[in-house]
Amino acid sequence: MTQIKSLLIANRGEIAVRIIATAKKMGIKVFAIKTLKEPNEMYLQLADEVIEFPAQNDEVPEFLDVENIIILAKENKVDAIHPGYGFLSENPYFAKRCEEEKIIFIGPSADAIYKMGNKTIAKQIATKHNIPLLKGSYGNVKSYSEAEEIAENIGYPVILKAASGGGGRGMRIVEHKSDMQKMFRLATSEAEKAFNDASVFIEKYVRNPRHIEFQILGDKLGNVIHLGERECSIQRKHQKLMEEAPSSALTPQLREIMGNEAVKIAKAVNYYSAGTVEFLLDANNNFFFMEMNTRIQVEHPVTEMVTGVDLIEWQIRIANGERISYAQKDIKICGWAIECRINAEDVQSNFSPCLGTIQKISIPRSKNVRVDTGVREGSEITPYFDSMIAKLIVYGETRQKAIQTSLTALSKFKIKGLKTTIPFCKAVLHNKAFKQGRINTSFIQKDLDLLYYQEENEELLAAAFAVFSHVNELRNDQESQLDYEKGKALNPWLLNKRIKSL
Amino acid sequence: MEKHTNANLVTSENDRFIALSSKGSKFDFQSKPNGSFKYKNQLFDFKVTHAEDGFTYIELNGQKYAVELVSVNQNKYEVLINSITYVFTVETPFSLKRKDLLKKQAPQSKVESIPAPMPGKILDVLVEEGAAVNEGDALLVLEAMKMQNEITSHIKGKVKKIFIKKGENVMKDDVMIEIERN
Repeated sequence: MTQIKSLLIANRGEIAVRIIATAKKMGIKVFAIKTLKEPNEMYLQLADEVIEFPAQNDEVPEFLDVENIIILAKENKVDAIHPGYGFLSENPYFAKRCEEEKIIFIGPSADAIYKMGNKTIAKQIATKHNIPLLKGSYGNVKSYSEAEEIAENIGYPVILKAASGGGGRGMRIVEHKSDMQKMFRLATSEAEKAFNDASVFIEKYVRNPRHIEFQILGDKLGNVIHLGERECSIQRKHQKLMEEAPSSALTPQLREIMGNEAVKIAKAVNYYSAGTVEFLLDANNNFFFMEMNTRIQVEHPVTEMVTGVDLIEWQIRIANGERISYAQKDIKICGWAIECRINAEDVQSNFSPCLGTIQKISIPRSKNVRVDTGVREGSEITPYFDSMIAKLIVYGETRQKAIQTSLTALSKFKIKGLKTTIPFCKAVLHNKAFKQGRINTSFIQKDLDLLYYQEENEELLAAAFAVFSHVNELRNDQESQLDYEKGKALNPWLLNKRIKSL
Repeated sequence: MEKHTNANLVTSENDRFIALSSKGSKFDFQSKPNGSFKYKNQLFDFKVTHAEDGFTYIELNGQKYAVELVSVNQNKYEVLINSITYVFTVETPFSLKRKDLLKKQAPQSKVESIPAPMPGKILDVLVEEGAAVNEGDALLVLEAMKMQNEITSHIKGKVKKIFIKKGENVMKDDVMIEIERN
């Protein structure tokens, strides 16, 4: 069994901070990469060693630059690399390069990443193992006329998806035959741009499903368990905004059935490390395998909250070759956890990104509240990275308590200098359908009347503040005019008095 | 030490200030000699605090919210409170009367501009100058945060002018296209 004593984080922001926390607990020396784009960030301060990324002039972003990251790892003789999420985390070539250079990649094998990363191959594997799937092309579609033909067969609506896609990019829903040509063009060009691969496949579109995903943990000895589900139906344009564990839709029986299917597909690719199997669940509790994410997920903390398992720790221990010490029956889902993603986005203006500097930040701290963040006072939100600045994760014995504690924590979460999605999170948590657990992926479009929640008397207080500012300004104007124009004629005693009262 | 500033700064008693929000709400405040404001026949005692934690708070009857003045442009105030933006123009009864009068006299603009809703890159321009468009017709494809967004026309009319080209970058609120109302 190897023992990882040092690791390089090929990532930034809150996930780098998260990995550092567990690595420190395990006594592992952490190396972080400093880029010119954010040379003063929090993760750099927390790391044991900071490596400067070599100056470069080509267009490959730092955390996607396979060869330079490998060079940095070798120069600093690190035992392992943790890729976090995004960037190189699901790049089979990167995992393979690590292996070739005798650096431990903290994640699954290159082969598993490749098979699950290619949606077409992933579906073929699922078919072979009798895992429920949606009807579709089961392969890449070459032209829009071919897409039309398949769509006729399985019936509209259908969805076009990038074969190498993820995170909602390169996805288009086609409602009618007449839209196919336009949508096919949009989907392929978006796929080409985002993933360097224009290939798309087609699939039956389920209206208003829930997005349910299962957390998987596998070791290199072939043991695979699941740690229950996460409900991720609160999405906008296929981007998750709020997650919870468990899901109010699942009974213990359904959890067992779906969990077993998730374990089955993981075993089919000899999966080890942490991974996530995504399903769609329709209104009649039929579920369909969507894809497997071969990395740690943004929303992993909700699972940690309800199971008590440190997923990053297990990624590292599994990379060491350790056997998972839990059997399936040892995993107990206890209580409820909700994660609110706090993004620097303007909810009043179509969630457009808010760039700028965090002038002040005040983070709620209390029992049952966990905040994962990579920013602090003075941090800059740049266009180079995603807009997520923090995750608020709240635990409650019941869902109702978790909702209530989340609302309290959100009202104490203050950020000056930027707009955030906090008013959106409040709107969801206050929504009646949400409170009753009646949610699906159309929730934001259908059930949310207003995308942001206004606190009581908020507008009145804002109006009063505008008047206050106005009056303040009028007074300043008047006084400066007085002193400038009439100052000379003033009695010195009066002048002195006036200066004192300024 | 916290620095308290009383909201009562009005020079003379019974001054009226009307805050008009961009969404149409109207708040009519009247200052009272004891330092409070009268609003809808009720007395309110607002308190503004520049606290030690670096935030500015406005407080009313125990409700206390962090508040920021984002921008001031003449009598237009952009206020950020709980991460929500409110835009008010602050008027006096006299300036409001004048404003209403001017509004009545001004003719309705025939040309509507389509501004960029977010910063991004123009991937495709789908219309030409002079083309007739219906409400909801796609005008261009804007890529922002690695997502492709179709920008549609919100009115029926004719494309008057196109200010952008395929491949160009735009900032938020840059006018991309002008449409003349039919």
